[in-house]
Amino acid sequence: MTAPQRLIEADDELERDLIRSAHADQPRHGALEQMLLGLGVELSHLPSATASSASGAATSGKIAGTVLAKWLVTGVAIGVAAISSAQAVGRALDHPGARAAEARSRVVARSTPAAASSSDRVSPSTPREGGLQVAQPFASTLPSARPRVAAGPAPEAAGAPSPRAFSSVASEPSPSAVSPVLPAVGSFALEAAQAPPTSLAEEMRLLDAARRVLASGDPQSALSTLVKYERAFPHGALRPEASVLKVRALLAAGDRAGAEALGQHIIEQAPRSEHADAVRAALGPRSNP
Amino acid sequence: MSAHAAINKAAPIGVAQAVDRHTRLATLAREHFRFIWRSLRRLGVAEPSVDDAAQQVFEVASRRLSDLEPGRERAFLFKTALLVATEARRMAARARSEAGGPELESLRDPAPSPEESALLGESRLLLDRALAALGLEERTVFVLYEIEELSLSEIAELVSIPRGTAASRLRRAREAFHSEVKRLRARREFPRRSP
Repeated sequence: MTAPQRLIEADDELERDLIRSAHADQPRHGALEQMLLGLGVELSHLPSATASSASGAATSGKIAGTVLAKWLVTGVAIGVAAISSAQAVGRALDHPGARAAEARSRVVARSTPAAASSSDRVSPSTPREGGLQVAQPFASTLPSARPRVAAGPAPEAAGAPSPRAFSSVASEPSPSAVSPVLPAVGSFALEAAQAPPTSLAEEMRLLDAARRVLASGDPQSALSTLVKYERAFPHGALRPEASVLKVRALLAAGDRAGAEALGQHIIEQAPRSEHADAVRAALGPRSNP
Repeated sequence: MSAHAAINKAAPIGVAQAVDRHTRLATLAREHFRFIWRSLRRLGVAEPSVDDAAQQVFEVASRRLSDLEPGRERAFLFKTALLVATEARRMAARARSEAGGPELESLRDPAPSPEESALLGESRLLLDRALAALGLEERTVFVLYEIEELSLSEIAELVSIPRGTAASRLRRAREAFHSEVKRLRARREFPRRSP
């Protein structure tokens, strides 16, 4: 079976123009770096300085410097070691990267004068206000990180780091939070703040809430929140994470038998997964024969 | 053992492990961010919301890193993008509906604001309107084939459908696209906006 001729190669000029117009629609410069900051990923982990663009890379370097300075100022010497290690790993992982589709897309874009240099036309060149932010360790302290618009509960306090240090270390609740409904995952900018949370957003909100109360020393509330999560999302996208959190909550609540039973189940399901590692770390040596 | 003590005992994570997570996520984002961003846009997420939607996709990925099979990352991200795009469109439709717009019309892509219209140019607006006439399944295959220029086999793998299904969806999508373009051409103006 041969593939049909693509419209961009066909005779209809209008249809060709419509398809070509999509190739000019690209993320603005620096969007990748901004997103990574929003996710709490230090920019030095980007495998290549050419990840986005020259200007994006320059911005990255500037922001990365700010982040590094914060690490040093706050005396987190271990962070420096982490950055160095990450850079080494990043270099090791560096490769041309761009997918075939990207390459094809660029070829088409180059052949379309209207597409050239237009990727910034639509989006504002400065970070938007009111964007989504997922609370993360470094992003929350950076003015350049995307602001949290939604009020939802902040993840656990920084003083009580989670085993999932990357994804769940905390930030302060934003004083500029405006939405009483949409939680940690944020909102889609133009959609009404009154709209109910999306299921993914709700999943994350519940888990962040459970993590926060667990960190504050209230494992029963955490368990209660996790039960609510399990009822609402029996096949949730974040179910494995919820299970690991439940192991920790059970331990904190003094139910070691329950924690071990659930933990063993998680380990049996995926013994080499990160979730299994987290359970082993939580349960301690007794679960690691 | 106090609750805090239990948590603190469970909390430490190896620095190397954290670094590995950051590096993997950064690598993932570097390789797929632009594709995911474009996909979200063409699947109907409004321009001002695409950055947020893309971040949501990678946030989910960051929480599921350990589940991502090597070589299947793009498929995972794309499926997540489909979910996020669907939710974004549903939220937008609901918001418009609550604002008094017709229910059915509100399921279409939002009409561009005057500012957007000025910035986007006619072709892309027409493209958005034509794509809005397609169902999500057809639209997905159409976007991947015609705009991302993936092969039908790549699409089948990405969306987890048989190649024949991808081909038939593309055929239906093209029929709907041709029909909509024909209508747009005949009217020589943008489709009427929802009130």
